[in-house]
Amino acid sequence: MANLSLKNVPQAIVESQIWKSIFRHGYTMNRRNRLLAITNNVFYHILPTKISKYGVRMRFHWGAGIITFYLFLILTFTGVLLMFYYVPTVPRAYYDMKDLQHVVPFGNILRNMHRYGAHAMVFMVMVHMARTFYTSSYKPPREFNWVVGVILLNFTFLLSFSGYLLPWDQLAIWAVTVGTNMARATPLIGHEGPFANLIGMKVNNDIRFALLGGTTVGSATLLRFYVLHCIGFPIILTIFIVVHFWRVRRDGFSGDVPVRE
Amino acid sequence: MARAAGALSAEEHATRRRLLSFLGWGSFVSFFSGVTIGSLRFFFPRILYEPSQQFIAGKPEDYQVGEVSTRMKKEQRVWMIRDQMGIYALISVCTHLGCTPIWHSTENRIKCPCHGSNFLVDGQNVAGPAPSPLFRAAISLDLAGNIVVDKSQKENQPGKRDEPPFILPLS
Amino acid sequence: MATTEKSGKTEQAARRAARSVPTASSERFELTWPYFMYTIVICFLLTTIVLWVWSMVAPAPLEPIADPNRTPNPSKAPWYFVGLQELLVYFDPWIAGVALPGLILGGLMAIPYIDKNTHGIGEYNYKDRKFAVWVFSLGTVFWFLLIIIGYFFRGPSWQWYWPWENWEIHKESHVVTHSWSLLGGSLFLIGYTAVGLIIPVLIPYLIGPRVKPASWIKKFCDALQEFYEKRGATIYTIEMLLLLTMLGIPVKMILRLYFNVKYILEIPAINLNI
Repeated sequence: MANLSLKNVPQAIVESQIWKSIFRHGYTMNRRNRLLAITNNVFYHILPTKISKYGVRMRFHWGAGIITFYLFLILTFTGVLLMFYYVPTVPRAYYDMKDLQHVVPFGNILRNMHRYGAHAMVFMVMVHMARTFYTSSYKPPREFNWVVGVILLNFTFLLSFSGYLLPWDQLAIWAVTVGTNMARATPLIGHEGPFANLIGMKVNNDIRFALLGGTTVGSATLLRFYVLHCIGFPIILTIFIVVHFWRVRRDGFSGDVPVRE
Repeated sequence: MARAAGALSAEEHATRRRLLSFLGWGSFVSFFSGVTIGSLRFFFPRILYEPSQQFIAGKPEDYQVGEVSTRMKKEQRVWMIRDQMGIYALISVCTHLGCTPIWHSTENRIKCPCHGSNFLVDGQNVAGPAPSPLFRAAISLDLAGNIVVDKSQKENQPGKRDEPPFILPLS
Repeated sequence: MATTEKSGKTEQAARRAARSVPTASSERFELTWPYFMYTIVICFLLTTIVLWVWSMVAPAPLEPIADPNRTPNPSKAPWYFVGLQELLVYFDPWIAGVALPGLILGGLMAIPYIDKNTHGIGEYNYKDRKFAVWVFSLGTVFWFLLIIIGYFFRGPSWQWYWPWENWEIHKESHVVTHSWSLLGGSLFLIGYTAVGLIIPVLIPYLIGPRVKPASWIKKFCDALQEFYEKRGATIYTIEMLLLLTMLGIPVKMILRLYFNVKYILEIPAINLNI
């Protein structure tokens, strides 16, 4: 108790039993503790402890994958918050959006971030794909991870698409009308598609009917898209993100082995 | 190992195993394919809560010859059109991807804002991506002389669409 | 037996060598914590700042409440789907909305299995993979070109408006499109595919031996022959079919925009219109 001063407080905290029980590695930043910081942490241990100087430069990887993942985190966070005020029914959906814009504290910026974050995520996925292509990172042994990446691109589009119906504004209804009418034209399983008339597809038994939960975009559609947008697609996307990251780790960063120095 | 009385030969044993394995995997596969089909069927509702497709569109006298009336469009998404033959109800759902086209009287054309399909007043598709003509709804008169339009019954093929019930003949 | 075992082992060793990360030396490797963490945190911070400022400055659009009886004129999808919307102008929905996106995604997934060139892993290398870089860049540029056309050059009734033209001024158009006959259409499609598939293979055999060894035509022939022989028949066919589909899109666009062709091939009985 003698040397209790403000200076010693941080020291006392990091040496306490509670702190040490949470962070197993020591606090001083020597080489050992830096390695342990990665391996002992459940969130970081997907990263290797050492990383090549060549591959870690921004001008090599453009940070595109990192930013895409971070945008997904932002979208999850803002999306969950928006769910507290949004009711997916025809009479309320649009007015809940108006409430978010004008009444809910910080509602407008949350909505803006969710919307612009989605735009940015689509763009960053494309940038990430282009970067991966131009550095030949899809070549063996990373072929399958490229395939997983394309699946992730697809689900990013599906999330954006299912997201637009939710505000129930004019863009929402027409984008989804057009989008689901494309499903109507799918060969075989859509009633206006090629060969569909041969297997008896009608307006009330094809793929579009299942998507809409009816024959026109209405309350059933809003609920279906809400569930898909908030539960279905994010879970599938998360599973594929996990696979994607795991494969990056297993197959190694393509920038780890500099071809020419 | 000595063979006990009543025990099975290796061959017999193998057949029984194969049968059991077949039954086991068969029940496994059939159960889960049943679950899959059931889950897919789940997404096709048996009952729909959608508005009625029938409506009353005033009296024949309300429409002038040569007029494309938009009075029912705001509520019912239908143009009431009267020509020399009679009145027909043109459903304003683009046959391309289901947007609501707009009637442009100066050009005498119906144009879709989504992908630019062009139709003539009789519903014929003339330009843009629309694959088929606009549909006409069934139209008739009730006992009180009101026009009754039924959008659930529709036709867009030339010939068929120019005959009742898709046109209300008026002299 | 012994030789296969040996070759298998050397193959395995080679594969291991290709995959393995060299032993960590401090000249080539650095610690993830904290150096890579800096990169991650900087990316996170910059993204947060950009997104936050963007959200503060520009309110996200919210159009009037949904009205199934009235479509806004023009009605445009968000930017990343405008390219698809523009494609829908030229092709039937099952092509533009289902088949082409399916082919794009399928084609993207197929890239690692088609592209057998092992050069350039982990570096920006144009010299050793010119063809791949060109095709990918062409596809990407074309995709964004469609987006730009749809976003900036389309006005009311999805007609062509230059960015400086006023949307209030109504543009009249009395275009009438027509389709080609079944025979002409089939011949065109078969011809297009056949020419695209066979000509690059035939040129080296027909023209190759008849030109001077040092001329640029000879070099071109050799390049074509090498292109085919590197790939083999199957991969060559798949690759060329995907490429021809990609190049076919602007062909149909030009036919529609300048020659008012509705369909090249029309089989209404099974809704098959191209």
